Amino acid sequence: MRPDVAVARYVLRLLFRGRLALLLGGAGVALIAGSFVLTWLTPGTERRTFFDAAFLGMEWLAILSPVLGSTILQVQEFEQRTLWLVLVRPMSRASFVRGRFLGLAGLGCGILLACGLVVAGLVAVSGGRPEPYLVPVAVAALGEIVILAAIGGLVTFATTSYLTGLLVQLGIVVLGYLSPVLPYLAGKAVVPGLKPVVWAVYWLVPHLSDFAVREFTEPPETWYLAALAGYAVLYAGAAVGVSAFVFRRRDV
Amino acid sequence: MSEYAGVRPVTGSFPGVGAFVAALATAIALASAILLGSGIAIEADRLRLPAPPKSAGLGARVAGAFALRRFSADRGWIETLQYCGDTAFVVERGRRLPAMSDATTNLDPRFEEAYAFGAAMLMWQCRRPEEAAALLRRGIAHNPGAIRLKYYLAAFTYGRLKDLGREVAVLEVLARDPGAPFILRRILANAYERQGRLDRAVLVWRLIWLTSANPDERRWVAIKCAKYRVDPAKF
Repeated sequence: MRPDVAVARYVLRLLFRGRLALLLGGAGVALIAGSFVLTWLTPGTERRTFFDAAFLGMEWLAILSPVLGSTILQVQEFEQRTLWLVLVRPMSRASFVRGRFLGLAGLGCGILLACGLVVAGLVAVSGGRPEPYLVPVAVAALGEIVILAAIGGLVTFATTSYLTGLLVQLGIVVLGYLSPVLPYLAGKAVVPGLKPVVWAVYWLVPHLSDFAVREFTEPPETWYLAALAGYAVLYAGAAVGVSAFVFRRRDV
Repeated sequence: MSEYAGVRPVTGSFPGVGAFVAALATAIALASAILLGSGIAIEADRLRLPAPPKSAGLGARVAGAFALRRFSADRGWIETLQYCGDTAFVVERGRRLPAMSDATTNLDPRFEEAYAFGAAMLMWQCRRPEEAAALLRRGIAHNPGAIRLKYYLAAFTYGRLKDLGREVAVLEVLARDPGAPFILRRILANAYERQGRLDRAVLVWRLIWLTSANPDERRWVAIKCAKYRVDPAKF
């Protein structure tokens, strides 16, 4: 078995054993059930209410699973020193970084797939017509998972405590959602040197707000989804590359 | 051969060709992602819900920044429905309903049901025709294709013609639209008729006669023309 895949399996096993997968899966079911309950309060707009809440829940899970997953891994690997048990195996650190990324992304994809199937199943059972936003939301959420899994790895390799790592990741998520505001803020900057810094942050943070396709006035076209997927892959590739460099230099 | 053969030292070594290629690939991936991201951002700006007005308040802006506008609008919608089922709604004659409807539709200007329901309640339950018409006009401005909102405005105008004469001007704009529904033009023509502006009514009948192939609609025009001794054949 390739070392990357072996590490991915190891990561998934750790996350399942730590009950994170169970917790996130349960949260997904609860969010979708909650979305269904909300429809009782909105006669006439049940469909809209259900999908708005369910899609929001799916997106939040897509964000939370890599963020929490990488934090738990940081606790177990770095703070409880289980990392040594893995690194004594014959593999390069780059393989470890890639495997970790694959494991985190795999967890998020699994949970998202389960949620998507539950939503689609509920629609089918209730005899509703297909929802045009379901596929775009799922593709965008997958992209977010891929990006945040890569960032989660980078942050946990670059920080020394799980709390710092968690806060940095949440900060990146917040900045990612605020990315459309950053050019406006850069235009308003009066302190010398601040403008290029804000622009640099704008270009470097993942543009997560562009992935919130559920807020669009119409479902995006296929090329937009393909561009989102391409952006996610390229961004994640760059983040994994930087992670490998950082981890190679890190003394564990 | 040892199972550790081919494993490179993990730290402290001089970067080789592999590391250089990896660094180059990382830089190219990042640059490509930035370029692609700028293109995506332009399209996303076009597709995103329109920004809430400055009067919308901090809550709407925060919801907008974190992509929570539709969900927040749903929450506002639930609160509106709860309020309309409450005793306070009757006692206050729906005093808070315009603000609640505005808050909901500021978050999601495409929320047709919120406009239609809010306006209907304001018009028929609260006797607040001006606020009802204002809400509908805003809804039509944000949803030009929303036929139902145009129907509602037309019905309100017809029902309250004496008080809302200026609404006829709004109807005139809507009726001029090539896709305007027949009922809207019919209500406008009836409004002119009630106002005694027969010349304007004839123009609307002519418009329907020349553009509609529906026999029911043409029959209605013929009846109206017969009443005022106008010959539709001369249209």
